[in-house]
Amino acid sequence: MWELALQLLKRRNSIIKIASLAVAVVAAGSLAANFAFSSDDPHPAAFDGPATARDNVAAGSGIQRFANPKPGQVRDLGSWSDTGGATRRLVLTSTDSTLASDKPQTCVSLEDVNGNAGGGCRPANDFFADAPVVWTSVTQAGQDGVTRKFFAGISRDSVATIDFLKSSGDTDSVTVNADGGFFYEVPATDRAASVDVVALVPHSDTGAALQRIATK
Amino acid sequence: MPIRRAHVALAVGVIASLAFVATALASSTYGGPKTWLPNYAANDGYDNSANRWRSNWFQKGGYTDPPYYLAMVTFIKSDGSWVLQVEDNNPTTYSSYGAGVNFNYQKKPYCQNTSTHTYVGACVAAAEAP
Repeated sequence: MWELALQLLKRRNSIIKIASLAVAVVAAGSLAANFAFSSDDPHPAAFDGPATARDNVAAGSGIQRFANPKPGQVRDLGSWSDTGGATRRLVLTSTDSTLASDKPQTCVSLEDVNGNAGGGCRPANDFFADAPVVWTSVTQAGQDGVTRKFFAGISRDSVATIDFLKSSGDTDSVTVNADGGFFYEVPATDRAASVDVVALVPHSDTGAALQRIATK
Repeated sequence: MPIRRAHVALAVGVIASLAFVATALASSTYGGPKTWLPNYAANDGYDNSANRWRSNWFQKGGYTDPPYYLAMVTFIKSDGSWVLQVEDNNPTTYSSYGAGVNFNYQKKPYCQNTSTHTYVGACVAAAEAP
């Protein structure tokens, strides 16, 4: 009788150990999956899904001419109107062409309605290597000097807003859109006073500052 | 990465880049490959009506490993004004015109290390018939 009770107790302990191990394995797997997708993904999430009708660049546009993306290698990250009423479009391109490197590049570009484009390219396999935000700035100028200046780019999923720290000590903030894209125009009053953006500070959705990214 | 190795890597990158661009455009490496001190700049000559500068880019050395440093590229018109000015800290910083009459006027490409750091790199521009 005592022997039977002891055997049942041992079996119960074994079942508990196996169940505990299973729970631990599931928990570890879940943590690993979360880590892989939320905090250490080197690729822009915009490329996770298939391309849609809006994900294209015009033949002969500056982006097409420079990066030469193939169908499926373009993602539209949004369009904004500048203070002059002109549309500015943010585009992400992945390209097999070697451009300035021996490795494929991903480029983030700001384009105007005439197809003029400017931006920056990074190694595709490590796009967010040093920061959760990849940015570029485009300045529109004429004979009388700078007429407009824009900052635009793409962020990791973990970024909700971006502060633009100015040389005046003031800060402006923009919200990142669903594709991770953002756009900021330096106010005319700042340009007139030679005030420029000196750093970008991305914030998480809890408001935590993630990094200070110098732009000067 | 030691400067000498970086130069070799840069040269390979430039050759690869030229091979890519040569399929469609006439390109010119007008600055470097070399070591760029802070504020160092370079420019190519003005274009002519047969071939107009259309794309301009700064390839910063290393390419794959951060930190990445600031650079600026632009085009300078014959009246001295700057157009399509782009500045960022990406390994490649570029500007490129749309098609047609949009880029059919006299200008020259210009690039500059706008960071406070010294790095290796090269400035390249491509021209084509408007």
